[in-house]
Amino acid sequence: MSAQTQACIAGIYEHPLRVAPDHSVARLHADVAHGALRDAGLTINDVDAYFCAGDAPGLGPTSLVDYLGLKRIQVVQTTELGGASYLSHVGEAAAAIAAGRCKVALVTLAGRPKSEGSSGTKPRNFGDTAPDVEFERHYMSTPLNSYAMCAMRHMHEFGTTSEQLAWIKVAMSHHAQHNPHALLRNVMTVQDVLDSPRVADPLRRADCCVVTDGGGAVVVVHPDVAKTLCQPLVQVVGMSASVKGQSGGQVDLTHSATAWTAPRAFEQAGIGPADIRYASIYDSFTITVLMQLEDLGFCAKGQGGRFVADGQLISGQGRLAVNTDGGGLCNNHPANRGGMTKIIEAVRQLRGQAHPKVQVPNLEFALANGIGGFLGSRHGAATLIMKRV
Amino acid sequence: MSAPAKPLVFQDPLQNPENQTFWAQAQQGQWMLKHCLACDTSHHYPRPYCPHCGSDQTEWRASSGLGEIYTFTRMVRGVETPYLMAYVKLDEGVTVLTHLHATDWDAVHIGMRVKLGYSASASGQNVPIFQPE
Repeated sequence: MSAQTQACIAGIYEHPLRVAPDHSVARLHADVAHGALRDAGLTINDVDAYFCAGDAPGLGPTSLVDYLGLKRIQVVQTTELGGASYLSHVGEAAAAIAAGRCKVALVTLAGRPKSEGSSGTKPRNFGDTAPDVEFERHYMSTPLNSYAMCAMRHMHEFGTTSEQLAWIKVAMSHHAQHNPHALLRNVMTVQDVLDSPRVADPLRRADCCVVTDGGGAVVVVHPDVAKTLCQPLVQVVGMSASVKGQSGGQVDLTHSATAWTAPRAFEQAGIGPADIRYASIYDSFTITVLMQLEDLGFCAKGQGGRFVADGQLISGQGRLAVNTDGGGLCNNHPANRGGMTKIIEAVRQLRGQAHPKVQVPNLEFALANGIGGFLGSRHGAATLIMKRV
Repeated sequence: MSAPAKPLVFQDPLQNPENQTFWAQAQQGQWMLKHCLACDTSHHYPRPYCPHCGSDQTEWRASSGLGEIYTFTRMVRGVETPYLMAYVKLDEGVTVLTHLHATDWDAVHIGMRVKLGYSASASGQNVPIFQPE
C-alpha cells in the first residue's frame, strides 16, 4: 500500500436497531449500505466494488449487488472469516484500490439472530460437508463451550482468574452507559459479573456478548475520492488476516491467529503496540479480548489478566481504551459477527466522533482486531490498523 | 457437582466414506488415528492427506486409548442435559475433541488421566468418550 494510493475509510454506519423482527436480512443490508454511503457523501451510483461475507442472503454478492442496484461493480469479494471477515474486507478493498481496480468499495454486514432465536449454547450449522463435522457435531461444539475451554486452559497455564475476566465486561459496561443504542446500558461491577449464572465454566452469562439483530457498513475509497468528501480522512495503513485450527491434533489453545497477523499489520503500518491508545478488540467473550491483547503485543503472553484488571480498559481511566461503544459484550453483535462494529468505533475515535465521555483525545492511530469462528477449534483472525491524516 | 442421572444421548455421527475404518473400529472399542508414513506423525481429525507434511501415505493405527485432559468445560446452562466437553491429549501426542463421562464432576481437572469409553448414539453407533482411568 503506497502512500500515493493509500485508501481511506470515508463512510461508516451502524444500524440503530438491536431487535428487528420486521426487517428482512436484505433490507438490513440496504439500510446500512445507504447509511454508510450517506455518511461519506456518496450514493450507490458511485460504488464500483462490493464486499460481503456469509451473513449475506442468497448467493451473497450475486444476490445483493442486484438487490441494491449497484451497476458499476468491477471488484467482488467474499472472504469468509466469520466475524473477522469485514476487517479483512477493508484491507483487501484498500489493496484493490491501490492496484487501480476500483475506487469506491462498499462492505456490508447484517443479520437478525436475536429474532431468529440464536444462542451461543446451541451448535451452529455450517452444513454437513465441513470436514470437522463428522468428528465434532455429535459432541455439540458451540461458541460457549469452545471459548470456555480456552479460558479454562488459560487459567491453568497462567493463573488467570474469573475476576480478571470480569474486568473486561465491567469496562465495556462503563462505555455502554453512554451509548443510547447499546443493548445493555447498566454499569456492572466485578461482583455483578461473578454473580451471573455459570453457563460453561469458567464462563458466566456476563462473560458472553449480546445477541442482536442489525448490522453495519463501511465505505473504502481511493484517496483522490476521499479528498473531495466531507469526513476527516482515515487511512488504511495495515491489515493482515490468517486462520488457526487444531493443527492436525497439535492443539494449542493459548494463542490465537492474531499472534501471526498482528506483527504483519504493525510492520505494514510502521508502528508498534506502544503507538496505540485506542483499540477495538473483538469481544465475543471476555476471554477473546484477553487473548487478543496478549497476541497483539500489548502485554506478554499470560499477563492479559493483570493488563485488564482494575479498569485498565476504561477510556480516560486505564492504559488502553477498548471498545468505547460498549463492544459486543454490551452494545451490539449483529449477525453474531462483531468485526464490523469494531471498525466503525475505531473510525469514530479517529474522526473525533465518539461519545465525548469516551473519546480518546488527539488520536493518530487506531487498531481493530477480529476473531471469527470458534477460538477453541478453528478461527479466522484479522488485524486492521488505521491512521488519521 | 455430580453427573446428570441420564447422560446425554449423542445424535448419530455423520460418516464420510473415507472414514469408515474410524467408525467401524469405534464400534469395536478403539480410537483410530491417521498416521503419516512420510513424516512419521499422527493426526486427528483424520484426513487422506497428512496436514503436517501433505503426503498421501497415511494409514490407520489404533490409539492406546489413554491420555490426559488438556482442557475441559462443564456445559450446564442452555442445554437439556448438562455435559462435560474436553480436549484429551492421547499418549500418542495427538489432542482430540471429545466428551468425558465422570461420576464426580468436581474431581475433573486438567492433567487428569483418562481412558477411552463409549456412549451409544441414538441408533447404536458407539461414539468415543473418555472417563477417569
